[in-house]
Amino acid sequence: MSDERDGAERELELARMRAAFSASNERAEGSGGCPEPDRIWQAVAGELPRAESAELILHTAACGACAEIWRVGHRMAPALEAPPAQARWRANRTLHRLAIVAAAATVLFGVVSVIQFRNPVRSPEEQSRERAAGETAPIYSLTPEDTPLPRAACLLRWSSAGEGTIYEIRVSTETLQVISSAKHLTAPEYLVPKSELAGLPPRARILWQVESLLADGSRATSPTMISRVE
Amino acid sequence: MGDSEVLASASGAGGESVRGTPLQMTYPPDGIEILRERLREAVAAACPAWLSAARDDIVQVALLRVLDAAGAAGEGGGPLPSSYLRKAAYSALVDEIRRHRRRRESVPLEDEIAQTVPSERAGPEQERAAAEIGRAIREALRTLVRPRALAVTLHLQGHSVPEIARLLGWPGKRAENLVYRGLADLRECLERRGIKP
Repeated sequence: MSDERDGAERELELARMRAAFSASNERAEGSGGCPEPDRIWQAVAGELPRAESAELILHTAACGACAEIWRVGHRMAPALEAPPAQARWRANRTLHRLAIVAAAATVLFGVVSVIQFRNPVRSPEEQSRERAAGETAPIYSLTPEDTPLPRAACLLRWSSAGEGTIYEIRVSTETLQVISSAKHLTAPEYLVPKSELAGLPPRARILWQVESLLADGSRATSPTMISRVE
Repeated sequence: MGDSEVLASASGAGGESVRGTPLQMTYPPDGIEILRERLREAVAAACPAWLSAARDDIVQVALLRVLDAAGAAGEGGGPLPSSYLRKAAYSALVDEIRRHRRRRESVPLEDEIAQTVPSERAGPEQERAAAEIGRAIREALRTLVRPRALAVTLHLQGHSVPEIARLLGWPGKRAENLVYRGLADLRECLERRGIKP
């Protein structure tokens, strides 16, 4: 279990680094020679030559103002959304891969007995690499990451995985304690009951993950998504 | 109704011109509401917390641009691609981000945080701490070898490994290794500076 715990902490660490990287964008000023937003859009959409995209990416590593614009583009650009065929391919990858992803989801939320696939023993490094590989369904949050949600209306929303998909969601604290979960959701949203948020401190972050059962019977797990409650 | 259908219906019945005419007389109200809802979702997914107060305005600006372009298409420009919706939302949001940056250039951070609606933000201390770590991450990224810096920068921006591989034309395994090793370098660099992410 400690190996699994290490893997979960790595995932949390990545979430914190992403949040910090994004937080440093707010007050950033252009560093000079900033590209036009249209070029960033093209780069995010994969429409620029790769060498040119690489230069822009390195620019965003140093320039918070452009990093913010890149982040906006990434969340909106259509070219990076996996096409349906690829999504199905990803969802139908080998049993072994699914077991790893399912194991990662289980680890993150501290649940040990949900997985119906065989769960080979993996080192924390291997698990972390699997998570880094992002082999999950193309589900993304439609709930603003940093805007605190009212406790009486803590509505978590995510992108639809298609008609006929059934969703499961688990919501946990930053210390990986599951505070709410639901199954058999037919719409890509979940209202966390106010009573289940009662133990959280003000402005607490919650981590949530969605598992989708697609219409073709395959399963896929979302990345861990983060929201904040008031 | 798909985006294209919405855009087609929004471009006016029978190719009727929309320029200079009241929107409610030209567009089916339900089509506009669908457009507005999709734009609202796109903006909500990408809008930084510090701009949340302007979200509705951004949606409105994007909606007007879409309707304007749909009207122009109805005048003979052909149907708009559905991706135009996202591009319009992107442009409206980026314009607002840049306007916001210009406006506050003379406002100290403390004043700005104090002026912001408290419920829309994390606490000032948390924000400062996160921004400090963020700056340290940027400095650390400069020390990484180029391929790892590219991979980690994209990963910190929220890109998955398959996306990184596609963007940079790398095999998936290579992208995976570069992300993994780059993150290890970054962690080590931060820890040397006494920062535990």
